[in-house]
Amino acid sequence: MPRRPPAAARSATEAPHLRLRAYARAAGRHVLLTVPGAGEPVHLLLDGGAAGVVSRGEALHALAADVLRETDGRVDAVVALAGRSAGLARLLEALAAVEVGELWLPWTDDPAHPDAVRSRTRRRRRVRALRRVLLGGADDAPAAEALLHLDKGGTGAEPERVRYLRPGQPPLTLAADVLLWVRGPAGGEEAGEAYEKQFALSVEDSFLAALLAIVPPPPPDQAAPEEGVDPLSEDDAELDEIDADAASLSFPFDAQHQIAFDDARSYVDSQGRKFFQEHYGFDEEGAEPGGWRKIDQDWMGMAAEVALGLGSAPAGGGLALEVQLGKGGPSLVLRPGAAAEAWCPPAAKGAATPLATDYTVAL
Amino acid sequence: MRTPTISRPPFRRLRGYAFDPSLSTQLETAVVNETVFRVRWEENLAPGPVGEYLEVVDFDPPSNCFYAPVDLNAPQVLAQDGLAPSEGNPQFHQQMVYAVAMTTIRNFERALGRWAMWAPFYEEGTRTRWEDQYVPRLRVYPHALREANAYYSPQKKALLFGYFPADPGDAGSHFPGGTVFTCLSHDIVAHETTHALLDGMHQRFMEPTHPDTLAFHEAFADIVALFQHFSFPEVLRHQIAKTRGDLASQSLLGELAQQFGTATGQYGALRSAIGEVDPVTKQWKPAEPDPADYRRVTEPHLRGAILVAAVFDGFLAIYRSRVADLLRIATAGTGVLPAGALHPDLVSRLAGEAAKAAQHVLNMCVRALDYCPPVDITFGDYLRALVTADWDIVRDDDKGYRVAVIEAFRRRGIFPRDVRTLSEDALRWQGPLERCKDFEVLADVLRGYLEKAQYFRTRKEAFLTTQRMQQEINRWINDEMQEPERFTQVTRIVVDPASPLAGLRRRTGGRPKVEVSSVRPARRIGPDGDFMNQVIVTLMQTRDVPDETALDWDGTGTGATYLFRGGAALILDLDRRELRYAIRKGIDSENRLRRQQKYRESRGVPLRAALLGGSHGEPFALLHRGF
Repeated sequence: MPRRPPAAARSATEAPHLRLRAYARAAGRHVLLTVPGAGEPVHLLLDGGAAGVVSRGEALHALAADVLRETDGRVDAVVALAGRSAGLARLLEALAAVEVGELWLPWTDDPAHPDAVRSRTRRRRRVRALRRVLLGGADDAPAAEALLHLDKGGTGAEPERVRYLRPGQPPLTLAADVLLWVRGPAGGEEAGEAYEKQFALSVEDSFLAALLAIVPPPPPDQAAPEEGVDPLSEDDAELDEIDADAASLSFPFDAQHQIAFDDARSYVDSQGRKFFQEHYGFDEEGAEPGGWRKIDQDWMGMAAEVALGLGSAPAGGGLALEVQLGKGGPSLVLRPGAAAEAWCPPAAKGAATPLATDYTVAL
Repeated sequence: MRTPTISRPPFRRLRGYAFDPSLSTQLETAVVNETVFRVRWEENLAPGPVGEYLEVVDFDPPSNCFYAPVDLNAPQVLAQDGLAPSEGNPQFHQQMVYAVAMTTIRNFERALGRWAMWAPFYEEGTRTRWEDQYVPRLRVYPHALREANAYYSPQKKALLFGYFPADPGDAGSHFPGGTVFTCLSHDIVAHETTHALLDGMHQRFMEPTHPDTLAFHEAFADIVALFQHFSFPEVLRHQIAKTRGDLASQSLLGELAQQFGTATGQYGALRSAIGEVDPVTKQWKPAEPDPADYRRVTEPHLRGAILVAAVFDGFLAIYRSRVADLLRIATAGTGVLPAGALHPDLVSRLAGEAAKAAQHVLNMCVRALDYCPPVDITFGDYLRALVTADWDIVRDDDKGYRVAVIEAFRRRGIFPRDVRTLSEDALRWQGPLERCKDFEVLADVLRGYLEKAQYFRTRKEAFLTTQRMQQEINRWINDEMQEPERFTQVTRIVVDPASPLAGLRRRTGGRPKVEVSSVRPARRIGPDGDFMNQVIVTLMQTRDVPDETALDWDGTGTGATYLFRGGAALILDLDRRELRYAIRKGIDSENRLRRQQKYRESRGVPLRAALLGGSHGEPFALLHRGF
């Protein structure tokens, strides 16, 4: 019996266009992208990351069933825009009945790439420092890493091939008038300056460097690689130096200008007043005079905000794909957090949230 | 022997950067970048500085340390016009934020003719005494954050400035990796101070009810920072000479936050009112107004830039009109300047006209705040406010200032929703067609208040008296109003207990709640000597509307609600004992409710709220990151 052409294939062969099937947020951030291939349509299932989303098992299985139906059982690639994560593992597990050709990951997840390993190690250190400040101890590691969306789970089901994509690589040959590019994360020797920029102190990282400044690095025994952590003992020393430099340079003024927090209570200004005691309100809390304007605790609140910023850019950028319909034609850029929820309209009152919403982009 | 009396100096002279430290490292601009701010003299200025309006407390939480407060009354400091500009001296940073913030406050007070007030402090869920609601000083933290950010915290009534390492690339324009202090940027300090001043007048403008609301906050803060550039005479002369009097070409005057822009990896200033540097060619190009931008752009800063560009365009038209005769005189009637440098006298005259035009536009912009609806402001509302405010002061627009502004808005597709034409008459807010007895009574009540307002000795006294006045008006609305139906017809404030309006917040007994959110005295004198005694009363109402987008994953509703507010700014003419204008946003407007709902849906659920739940209460903290 001839196979029924899947819905996506039918629509994709009628006219040169992209088809986006954005799944409801309850399943995560997933989009099924169908593009005209050299022969058959190509199905790419994009995993946009789990920031702000708790994937529900039932929803993931409904998504997998829909993917099975829409693709006739084969997805050319699962594209982990946000990199490796527990959410990705859950997705691949749910896709057990679907044939997955390739798993595309950003090069920054490549275990064999020294720069990627170095960046992950550096990031892990910062997470440890942030964890201590935010959550107060190593026992809360999973919570801190979940907050930062750095929980690196396994990949669950096994695709035929795992590829680590670098900018500029066309990962697939598509139809003559359709171009597919990798636009990020920047990095690698060919990216030159952009690579350096990526690993320099970014806005978020400068904040974490600030945390490091008040939370000294763990003693050597505690700093030993945990199980599953990439062994980088020779790089650790170099990283320690870099971090120490970053921490000292991150102080905005010379030491002569600094009045330590505890000394500030007794500091007397030129008029003989205990200035900070009077104006900062060290001991007041909440709405007490002065207490509501203090920023020492508030700053910790901001750290959580910053962590969210980090979460949206896992491993320093995430995978970015650009699909262009004809040279100079319309293009669609897909990045981590390229949120399905931005495309999924809310359900009308009383109606169930639709599983997915379809969009087409035509030439 | 009698000691001769020495009168109090009008100003305290304080050195600072006209723009930011980056321009002091460029030969061309170094000579003009160091300026002297003339700050109103505060008799009891304490170390900090801590004065009547501001308290600078230099705590650096990321470094876990404090920096000693500067004493601006120290003889060595007074004798040298303050500390010398220095990036490495935290006391100079304190002086800089104080000087710029005080300049900004002064500009507000000059335009409004009354003291600036900070938004009151309320503790959520409790009844705070009036005394404790009063916030005498805005707290300023010059080194609060280690990131490319600075923001006004409405929760803490504080300005928090960050510092960060500059972008390591493009060493040509800045020191790669060097520390950039946002508190040393005139534009950033003026911008954040303006947020605080605006919040002091309109606390509901921070509620994102329309794409224009947050954008308005950003735009207004940029407008004030931009027009303050024109108050630096040396800079003005320098840039007029450089651009040969053409302020529409690239100049420091039309750009904001140079150092922040380049240090965060951009190719020029953070924002420009008249053009931008092409990231590919790195060449500056003038911006062409595109009405489609207003329909398309929603990010608050980018959308706000449309309003800034419109206002700046209006200013340029006014400037050109003011200098046309000078240029004709200077060019024997041709109006075409010969090649080469301009004569210094001509530069001075052009600079003088530019400064006057800028101050006029800035005053117009600030004064218009009194003519804005108290909630859900749009750019179109602001255009109407600008036109009405200026018309109230200057009836005869013989120089065409209002026409210039209207045209600039029109070119950017900014139209008010509810007018038939863009004529000045149609744009002016309207008052009631017939006199209403209730407003005569209200005007009488307010006359006593305005009399007192003339003789307030302190800002605290003004605050407390105003609070009492608000309470009195509230009592009048609830107990003494004679014609409630007429009142509702004019103001769209619902006072009828039988009103069927769903979700409307009510008092015990079912009467709709009306919040008297502000009472503001306004005594103005026009250029023709006309006196105006006005009081602006803003009223607010709230409805709890079911949030139909708040669904569980299975599609069932969560029962959550959101706030829908309506209100009116009533401008009462106390001389004529009448309501001059009722600037309204009806609580009963279903169209406006639908628009707000649509906007809410388009914004989606904020990531932070989805993950952390609740509100951190810092609307500008994330909004300003990288902006």
